[in-house]
Amino acid sequence: MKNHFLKILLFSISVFQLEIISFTQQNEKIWFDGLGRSYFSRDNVVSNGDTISPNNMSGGYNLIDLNVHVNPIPNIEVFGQVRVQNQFGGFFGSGTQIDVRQLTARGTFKNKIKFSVGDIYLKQNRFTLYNYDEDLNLYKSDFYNSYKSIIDYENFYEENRWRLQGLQVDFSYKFDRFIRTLEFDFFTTRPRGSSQINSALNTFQSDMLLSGATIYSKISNSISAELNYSTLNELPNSGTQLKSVKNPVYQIGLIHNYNAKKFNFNSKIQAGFSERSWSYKVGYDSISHRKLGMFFEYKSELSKMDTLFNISWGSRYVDPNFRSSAAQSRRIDMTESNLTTIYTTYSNDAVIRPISVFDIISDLNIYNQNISPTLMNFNPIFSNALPYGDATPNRIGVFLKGFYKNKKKYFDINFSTSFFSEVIGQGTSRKRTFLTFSQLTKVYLNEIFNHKKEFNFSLGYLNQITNREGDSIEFINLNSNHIDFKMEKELLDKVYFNFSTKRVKALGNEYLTVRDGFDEIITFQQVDYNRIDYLHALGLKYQFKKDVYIDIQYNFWGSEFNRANFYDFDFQRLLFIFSIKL
Amino acid sequence: MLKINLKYLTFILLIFQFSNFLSQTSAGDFLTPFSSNIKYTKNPSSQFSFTGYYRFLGFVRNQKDVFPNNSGKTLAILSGDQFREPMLLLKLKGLTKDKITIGADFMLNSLYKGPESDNNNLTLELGINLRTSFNTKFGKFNLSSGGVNWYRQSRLTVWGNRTFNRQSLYHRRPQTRLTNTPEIRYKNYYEKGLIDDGLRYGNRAFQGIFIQGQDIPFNLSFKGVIGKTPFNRSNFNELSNNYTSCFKINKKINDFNLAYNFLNSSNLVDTLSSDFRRYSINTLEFSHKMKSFHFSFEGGFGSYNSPENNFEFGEAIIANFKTTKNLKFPIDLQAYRIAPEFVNLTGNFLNTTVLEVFPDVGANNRATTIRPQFNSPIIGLGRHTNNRQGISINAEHSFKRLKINAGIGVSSEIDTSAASLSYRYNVNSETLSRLYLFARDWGPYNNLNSTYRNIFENVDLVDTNDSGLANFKKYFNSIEFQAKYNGTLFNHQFYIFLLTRFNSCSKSFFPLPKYNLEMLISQLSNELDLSFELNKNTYLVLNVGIERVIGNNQTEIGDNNSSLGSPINLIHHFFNENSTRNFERNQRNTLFGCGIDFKIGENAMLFFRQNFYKYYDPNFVFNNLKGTETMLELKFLF
Amino acid sequence: MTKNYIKCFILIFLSFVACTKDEFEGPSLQNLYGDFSISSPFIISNSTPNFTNNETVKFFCDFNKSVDWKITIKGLQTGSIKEITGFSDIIDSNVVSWNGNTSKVPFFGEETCALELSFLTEPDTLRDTLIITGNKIYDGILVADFENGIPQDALVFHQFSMNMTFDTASDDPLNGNSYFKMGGRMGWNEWFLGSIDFPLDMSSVNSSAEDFYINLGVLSGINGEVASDQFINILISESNYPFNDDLSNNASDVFQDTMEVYKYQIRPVDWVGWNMVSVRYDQFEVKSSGGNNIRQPKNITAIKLQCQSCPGLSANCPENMGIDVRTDVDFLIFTEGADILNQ
Repeated sequence: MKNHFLKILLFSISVFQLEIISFTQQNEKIWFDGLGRSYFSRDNVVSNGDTISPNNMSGGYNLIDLNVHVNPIPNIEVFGQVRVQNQFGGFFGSGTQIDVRQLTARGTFKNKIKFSVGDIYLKQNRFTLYNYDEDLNLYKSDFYNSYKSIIDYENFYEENRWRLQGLQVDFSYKFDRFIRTLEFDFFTTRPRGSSQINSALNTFQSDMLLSGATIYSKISNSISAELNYSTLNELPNSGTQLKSVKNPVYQIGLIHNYNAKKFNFNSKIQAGFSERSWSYKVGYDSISHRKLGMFFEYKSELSKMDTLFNISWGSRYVDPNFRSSAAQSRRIDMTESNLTTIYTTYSNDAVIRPISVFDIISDLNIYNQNISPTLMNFNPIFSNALPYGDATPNRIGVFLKGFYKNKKKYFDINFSTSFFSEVIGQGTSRKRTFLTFSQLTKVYLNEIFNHKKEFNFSLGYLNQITNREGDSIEFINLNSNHIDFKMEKELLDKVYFNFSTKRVKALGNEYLTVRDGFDEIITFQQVDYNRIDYLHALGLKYQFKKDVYIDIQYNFWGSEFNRANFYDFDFQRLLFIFSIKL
Repeated sequence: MLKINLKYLTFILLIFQFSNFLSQTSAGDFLTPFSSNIKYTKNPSSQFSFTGYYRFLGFVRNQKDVFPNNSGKTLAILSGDQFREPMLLLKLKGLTKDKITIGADFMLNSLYKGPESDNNNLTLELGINLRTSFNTKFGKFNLSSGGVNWYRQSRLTVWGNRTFNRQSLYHRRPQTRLTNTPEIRYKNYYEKGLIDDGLRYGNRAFQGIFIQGQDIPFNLSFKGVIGKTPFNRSNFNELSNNYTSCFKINKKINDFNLAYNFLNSSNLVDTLSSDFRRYSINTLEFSHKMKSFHFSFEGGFGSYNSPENNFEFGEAIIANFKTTKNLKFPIDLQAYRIAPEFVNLTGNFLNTTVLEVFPDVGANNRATTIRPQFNSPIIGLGRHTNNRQGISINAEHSFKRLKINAGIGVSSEIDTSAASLSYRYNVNSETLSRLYLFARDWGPYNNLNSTYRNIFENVDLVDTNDSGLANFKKYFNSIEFQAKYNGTLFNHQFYIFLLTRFNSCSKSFFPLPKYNLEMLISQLSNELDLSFELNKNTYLVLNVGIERVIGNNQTEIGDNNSSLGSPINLIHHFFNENSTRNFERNQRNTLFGCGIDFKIGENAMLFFRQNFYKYYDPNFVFNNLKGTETMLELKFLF
Repeated sequence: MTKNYIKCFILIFLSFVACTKDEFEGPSLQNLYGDFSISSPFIISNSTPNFTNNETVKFFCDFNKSVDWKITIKGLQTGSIKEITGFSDIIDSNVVSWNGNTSKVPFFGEETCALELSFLTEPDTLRDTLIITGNKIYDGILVADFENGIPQDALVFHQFSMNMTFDTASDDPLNGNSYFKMGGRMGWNEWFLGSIDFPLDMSSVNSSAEDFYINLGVLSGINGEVASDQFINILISESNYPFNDDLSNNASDVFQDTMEVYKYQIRPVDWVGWNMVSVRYDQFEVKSSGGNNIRQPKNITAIKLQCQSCPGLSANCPENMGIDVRTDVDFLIFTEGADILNQ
C-alpha cells in the first residue's frame, strides 16, 4: 500500500510542469576573476612588565585568489578558486602555499531545476539553519571594515550563511488558483568528513551530514506559508566512534503582508520543535541524553513605503531543550583552547591571553566554520542575552527594533531593545533576566554643512543588563556597556582619514556554564568582572571602490581586568592592507 | 502514520497537478523563488590574462674524472639543470578599470622521473604583486605591495651587482630572452655591447610596500620601500622583526640632478633582548649631464651596530666620469672609496668586513644561506667592495669592423682584513656550480662556494698578524680586454668575440696586474666565442675558454710536492735552477663548447650545447675534473 | 484578520508561559557555592572489628552539599594507612565500608586505629578511633612469607662479594616476623647479585593472565639512601623441565633461554621502606620464547626473584661504590581477580 502511494507521488512529481528561472546564456566558456591582497602588520607590547613576550612581532602575506569560471554548456558553470599565498619574508618560492579553496558546479537542468554541487553557502530559517553575526557586531556597522571584510571572506561568511559542501536543488511552481506559488528547496551536505583521529589506535571520526528541505508557498497576495526542516546526523558506520548525534529540527511559519498606501505591515508567526539525541553502536541501539524542545515566535513589522522608517516588534519563546545545531553554532567559540594569533601568551607568567575586543575585530583564526552539535562557549561580557542569536535556548521575551532616516540625509538612527528572561533557571529555580538596549546614529556633517567631500561620524551604543534575584549565591548583576565611535573625513578624492574607538566595559558577576560532551551542564564557574576592553584606530584609507582599497591603520588596544593576579595587557599595531577584488 | 501522511501528500500534489494543468502560466514573470543557496550573479568578463614561456632543458653530464668524495655516480640525466628555474612560467595579470593590477608568476616544473614520481609541483617563481597609481594635484604616485619586486635606488644603497657587461654569450640562462632571429642576440652584443639580462639585472629583490612619486612640486620626485630583502631572512619565524627600509628624494635643476638617499636595515638577533644587527646609510647623489660627458657622484656615511661589532661612522664615495659613446674614444673613469665601517648588503658593492650580518638561515632547500664573496674578493672592473679604494678607466674604439674595448683598474684595501682571498672562475664557473648547487665550503679542499650559476674559491694566506688578520694590506689589479669582429664568409655572417680578463692581488702596489709568483694570486682567462650563420634560422656557436690561476708561497700549499706537472715551474727551472717554484695554486680551467641556435618558428627556438670541460691543478691533486655536458633547450614564448 | 492573529498569538504565548517548568538546569548552585555544613554526625558501625571473621566497618555521614571527602584510617602501631574517597553529599553506609585492607603497606595488625574524615575544599575534619581485634586474612596463593625460614624447595644463589645478605631476617618484616634480605655490594663490574627461586604447582588455578596478580612486598633503602638503579627481576617459568634437575647448579633449571619464561622488572627500586608491588601476569614480557608465548597461570612451574644493580665499578654509577644494594622481599602471594591491596 505504501509503495503504491509512493509510486503515485513520484509520478506526480515527474509529470509536473516545472518552471524555473534560468541563467542568462553567456558566450564566454572560460573566464576569470578573483582577489588580491597584501597584508602586513607589526605588533608591539606596550606593557613594560612583560619581559618574556617578544617586544615586536611583524608578519604578513600576499595572496591571490584566482576564480576560474568554466561554462562547458549554457546554464552550467563550474567554478574553482585557487589560492596562492606567499608569506612576507618568503623569497623565491619559500613560504608559498597553493590551495584549491573552492570548487563548485551549478546551473539549471532543462531550464527548470536549479542545482549547486560542491562548496555552497546555505541559509534557511533563523531557527533551522542560520549563521548569526559574531559578538559586538552592531547593526553590521563598518567601524573596522577592512578587518571585517577579511574575516568574513576568509571564513566564508556570506549573508549569515554557513559555507557547506554538498548538493542543493530548488525549483518552484506558479498557479492561478488556490495558491499562487509553491517553492521547493532541498539540500544535503557534509559539514565534516570522516578522518583518522589516532593512527596508532586506528580510530576514525564519523562523517557528519546536514540535510534540509524547505517548502514555501505564497497562498495569496497577503499570506504565505513556509515549512523548514533541517537535520544533523553523524553516520556511526563511517567511523569508529561509539556514539553519534542526531538533531532534526522542524519549523512552520505563516506570514501575513498588508500593504496600505504609505505603509507596509508584515506579520509572521512561526513555531517549531527539535530533537537531539545520541545513539550508541555497542551492545544495542540505545538513545541517551535525548532533548526535545520547541520554539515559538511572533513578529510584526511596520515600514514606510519610502523606506525612511521601519519598526518591528514581537515576542519569542525558545525552550531550554531546543537544540538546532545549524542555527546555534557560534562564529566564535570562547573556550580557552581557542587561541589568539597575536601574543597567544602574555605576561611573565606566560598565561594564555583571553579573547579580547581586538581579537574579535581582527583575528580571523579564532572564527569557526563548523557546525557544532553542542552549545559552544560564550563570554557574557560580549553577549549574554542572546549568545546563540534568536535561537538561543531557554529564553522568553519581547523585542522592539527599528530605524529612521532623515529626509534631508542629515542623519540616520538604528535602535533596538529587548527584554528576555530564562524559561528555567540555571543552578537555581530563579531566572536571569536580560535587558538590552542598543542604538547606532550616523550623522552626515557634509550634508549639514553642504560640503562635497564626505564627513561624518557614527556613535553606537549597546547596554546589556543581566539580573537574577536571590540570595548571595544566586544573585547576579552584570552590566555590560559597549560604545563605538567613528569619524570619517574625506581629505582628497577617495582618500579618507578616519578615527574609531571601541570600548567594552563589563561590571558585575556571572556564572559560566561548564558543559560535558552531551551538552549537559556539569558545573558553574563563578566569575566577577570589572573589565574594560578597548580598541582605538587611527588611519588613512584610499577607497577606490567598495572592494578595492588601501588601508593604513594604527591600533591601540588592550584589556584592563582590575583583578588581583590577573595581568592587564596593552598592545599597538601598525597595519597595511591593500585589497583588490576583480 | 507514514501511510496516512503519504496519502495526504499525494492527494495535495494531485490537486496541485490538476490545477497546474488548468492554470499554469509562463515562467518569465516569477519573483525570486525561495532558495537556501546564495543568489548568484554572473559577470563574465575575463579580467585576468596570462603570458609566459615554456622552457625544457634536457641535461646530461658525464664525468670522466671526479672529485674523490664522489659517490660513484658519474652520469647525470636531468630535466633542467637543477637550479630553481621554471619549465612553465605562467605570468598572471589582473587589471581593473582603475588601472590597479595584480600579478603573480606561477612556476610549474616536472622532473620527468617516471609516472610514479611525485616531484611535480606548482609554486610561485617570485611572488605576488599588487600595483596601483593615482594622479593628484600634488603629483603622480605609484604604490605597490608584495614582492618580489626588483628595486634600484643608488649604487651605495640599493643597486644590483652591475659591471661592464663583458661576458661570453655562449651560455644561456632561463631568463635570456628569445630574439626574432638567432642572429639578433649576437648582433646586438656586437653593436651595443649589451644583452638583455632581464629585469633582475642591476636590481635587488625586495618584498614590502613600494611607493614612488613623480612630478611633485619643486621638481621633486621620490621613491621608497619598507620591506625585506633576502638578507633579512631570520632564524625565527616569519613574524620576526627584520626590515630594510629605504627612500630617495630627487630634485632636478636643469641639467643637474641632486638626490638624497637613505637606507636602514635591521635584523633581530633575539626576540627577547631586542638586539639587532643594524646598518644605516645616508648619501647624497649629484649628477650633471653635458653635451659629451656625464659626471656623477655619490657620497655618504654609514654606521653599523650589532652585538659583535659597533661601527659608528664610515664614509663611502663613488665618482664616475664618462663621455658619450659618439666620441671617437669614449672613456669611462671611475673612482671609489668605501670604508670598512660602511656596511651594506644591497648596494653595488660587496661587504667584506662583517660576516655576522649575512643571515644564517637556509634558502632554496639549503641548510645555510649562500653568501657572496667575503674574503678579500678579486673582482672584475666595475665592481666594488667595502674596505677598499680604487680607480679604473675604460675606453673603446673601432677599427672598421673590429671593435675593441678595454679597461684597467687598481685598488687597495683601506685596512688589513682576513688572511684570505677569494676569486671567481671565469671559465667553467657554470659547470662547477652545477656539481653542487648553492653549497658553502665544498670540494676536496673545502674551499669552493657555489652561488647562482657561479662559483668562487677561498684561498688562505699564511702571513698573519697576532689577531689572525693578514699582516699587510692587499692590492688588486685588473685588466679587461674585449674584441668583437663581424664579417661574412661565403655570404654567411659570423661574429667573433674575444674576452681577456687578467686579475692579480699582491702585498704591495703595482700599476698593472702581473702573472708571476710575486703576486699572491694571479688569474688570467681568455674566452673566444664564434657565432656562425648557417642559415637565417640557424647559428652555429663555438666557445673556447682557458683560464689559469697561480698562487705564490704566501698562499696555501698543495698536497703534491713534485713540481713536474706545472709548466711554469719547468720554465723557471729551465732558466734558473734555484728559482722560486710554485707548489701552491696552479689551476687551469679549460672549456670547449659547441652548439646550435635554431629558430623553430615564431617565438619558438631550440638551443643545443655540448661542453667539454676540464679543471685541473697539478699541486692540488684532488682538484681534477673532466667531463662533458650536453644541453638541449627548447623555449616557447606566449 | 490581524486581530485574529494577535488573539491567537496571545493564547499560544500564555500557554507557553503557563507551562514553564519549575526546575533548573545543571547542578545546584547551593551545592557548589553554598556554605558547607555537616548534617549528621560521623557514624562508625563497628569500633572493634574482627577482620579475621570477615567483619566490616561501615561509615555514615551526610552534608548539605556534595563535596570531595576522604576517610583516612591509620594504624597507630604499624603505621598502615587506608584511604577511602568520594564526591557526594552523603557517605552511605551501604556503599562505604572497610574490610581491614590497606592502601599502603605494612598491613594493619591488631591495633588501635585513628580515623579521620576530611574534605578537599573545606577545613572541617572529624576524628574517631577503632580497635582491630582480628587481622584481615588475604585470599590468595601464598608462595613465601619466610615465617619458617627459606622454603625447603627454594634455591638461593648469590655472588660472593661484599656484605651479601641473601637470608631471612626478622628486624623489619612486612608481614609476620620474618622476611628475606636480598642485597650486598658487588666488588667487580657485575649487575647480578643473587636470586631466589621457588618451584610452583598452579594447576588448580583457572584465572586468565589478565586476572592473575603477582604481589610482592619490597623493602628498599638503607638509612634513607638507595643504590642507583637497583632493581628486582621477576622471572616466571612455564617450562615442564624438572625444577632442580642439575643438583650441581646453584639455581633452578627452568629459566633457560630455550624455555618458556616471562619477565617483569621492578626497576628502579628507589623508595625507602616497604612497598607492595602488584603486577598482572599479562604485564610480563616474553624473556625467552621456548613455548607458545601465551601467559597461562595454570602452567606456571616456578618463579625467580633476582636482585640486580648497577655496579659501582661501571662508569655509569660510581656512587654505588659506597652503598649496599637492598631489595629485600616478603609476602610473595598470588591473587586472582584483584591485587592484594584492593581485596
